[in-house]
Amino acid sequence: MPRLLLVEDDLATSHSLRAFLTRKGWDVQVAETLAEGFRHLENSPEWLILDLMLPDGDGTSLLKKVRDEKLNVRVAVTTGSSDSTRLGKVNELLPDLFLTKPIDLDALFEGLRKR
Amino acid sequence: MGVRELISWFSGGSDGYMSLIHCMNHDWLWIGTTVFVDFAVAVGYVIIALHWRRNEKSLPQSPAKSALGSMKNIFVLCGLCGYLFIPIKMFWPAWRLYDAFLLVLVYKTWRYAVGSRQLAVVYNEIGRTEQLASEREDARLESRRKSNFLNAISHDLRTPLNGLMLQAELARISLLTQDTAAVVDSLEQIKTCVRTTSDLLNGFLELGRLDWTEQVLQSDQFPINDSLKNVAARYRARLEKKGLSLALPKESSVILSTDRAKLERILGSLVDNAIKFTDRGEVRVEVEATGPGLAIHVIDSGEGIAQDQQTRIFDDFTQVHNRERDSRKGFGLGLAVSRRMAHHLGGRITLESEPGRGSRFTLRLPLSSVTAPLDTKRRSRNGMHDGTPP
Repeated sequence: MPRLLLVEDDLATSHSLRAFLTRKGWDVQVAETLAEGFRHLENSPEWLILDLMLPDGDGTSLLKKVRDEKLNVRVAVTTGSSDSTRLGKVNELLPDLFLTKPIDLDALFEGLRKR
Repeated sequence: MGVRELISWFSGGSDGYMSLIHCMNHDWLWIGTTVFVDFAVAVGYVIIALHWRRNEKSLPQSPAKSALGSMKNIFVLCGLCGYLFIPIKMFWPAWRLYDAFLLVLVYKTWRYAVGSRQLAVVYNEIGRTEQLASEREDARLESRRKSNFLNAISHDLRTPLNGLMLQAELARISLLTQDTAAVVDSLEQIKTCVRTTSDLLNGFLELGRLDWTEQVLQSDQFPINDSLKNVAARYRARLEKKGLSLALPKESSVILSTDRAKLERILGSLVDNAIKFTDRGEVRVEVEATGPGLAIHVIDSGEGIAQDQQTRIFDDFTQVHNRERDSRKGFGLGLAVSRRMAHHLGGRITLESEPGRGSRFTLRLPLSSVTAPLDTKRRSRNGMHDGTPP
C-alpha cells in the first residue's frame, strides 16, 4: 500500500481526506502539527499533502526540507491562504501539486494518480 | 565708439587704470596663487550652476522653480563678479566692466529681494513633499493592514468551508454505503464547521456594525459587582478546564451608569483573551478609581506581549501568538471589537505587558459612567491594587 502523509490541523478536513484516500488505497498517516509532520516524514511517504498554516508554524518548512534534502517525496500543497508573499515562497519550492481550499477532490485524485 | 575704444574705456580710457599685477608689485608667487585659487572657486561655481541647470530643466514650471531660478542667476553673477574678474583684472584692468556687472548684480539682487517672499513657496513645497511622503507611508501601512485583513478572512473562511464540503461529500458516500455511523460523524463535523463559519461572520459583521452604523447606547444603572459575577460565571467552565483561577474584587459598592451589555461584552472578551493565552496561574480582575473615572484591570499570568507588538494587538484579525491562524485560538476579532465598543462607551482599552510576566488589559471608563460612590483613595482587588507590573 503506498504511504501518504497528510499534514492538516483542521479536523473536519483531515478526517474526510483520510477517509477518501484510504478508500482509494492509500496508507494515510495524519499529522496535526508541523512537529508531527517532521517526525512522520522519516517514514518516507510517497506523497505529502501539506497545509501551510499549522498551529506551530509554517508548513512551507516541510516542503523546504523535502527539496533541500532531495527526499523522494512528492508534495501537494493545500491552502486557504491568499497571501501572495507566502504563496510566492511556496511556488519557488516547486510543489508537485498546488490546490486552493476548498479542495477540488477530483483534481487532488487526478494529481495523485498521474504523477 | 568702436570696439577698440570700448575695450579701452572699460580699462579707464586715456587715464589707463592699473592691472592687479601692478598692484601686487609683480610678485609672481602671490599672483600665481591668487589666480589659481580664484579659478578653483570659479570652476566650483560652474559645476554647481551646471548641476542646478540640469535638475531645473527636468521640472515643470512652478512658483518654486521660478524662485530658485532667481537665486541661481544671482549665484552665477556673484561667481562671475567675485572670482572670474580677479584673474581677468590681473592682466586687464577692466574695472569699469566689473562695475557694469556689479550694477547688473545689484539690480538682480534687489529685484529678488523685493520678491523674496517667493522663497516661502520653496519651503512650502519641501514641507508638502515631506507631508506627502508621510501620507504615502500611512497609505502603504493601511494598504498592508487591509491586505492582512483580507488574507486572514480568506484563510479563516476557506478552512471551515473546505471541511464542510469534504464532510458533505463523505456523508454522501457513507449514505450510499449505508454507513450510518459515518454519516452521523460527518454531520457532527459539518455542524462544527458551520459554527466556526458563523462565529467568524458574526465577528466580521459586528466589526462592520461598529464601524459603519450609528450606535445606540443603552443607559443602565447597575452594580459593577453584578456584571463581574456574570462574566465570571460565563467563563467558569473554561477556567476549570485549563486549571486556572479567576480572582474578582471584593464586594464593591460602585454603581455604573452605562450600556451594560456592551460593558459585559468587553470584559468577557478581555477575560476570554486572558484565558486563551494563559496556561497556568490565574486571571484576576481589579477595579480602580482613578482621577478621570474608573479603571477595570484584567490581569493574567500568561506569556505576555512584546513592546513592539502591543499596538498591533488591537488591529482587526491580529493575534500576536497565533501567526498561523489556528482557529481554535479564535480569529483575532475580540480585541478589535472590544476597542471599538470601549470607544462607544466613551472609554478606551490600554495594555501593559512584559513577555514572560503576563499582561494587564485595562478598560478605562469616564467619570460620567459612574453613578456612585467613587472613592479615589480606594482600589480593590481582594484589597488594594499594589501598582506593580502584572
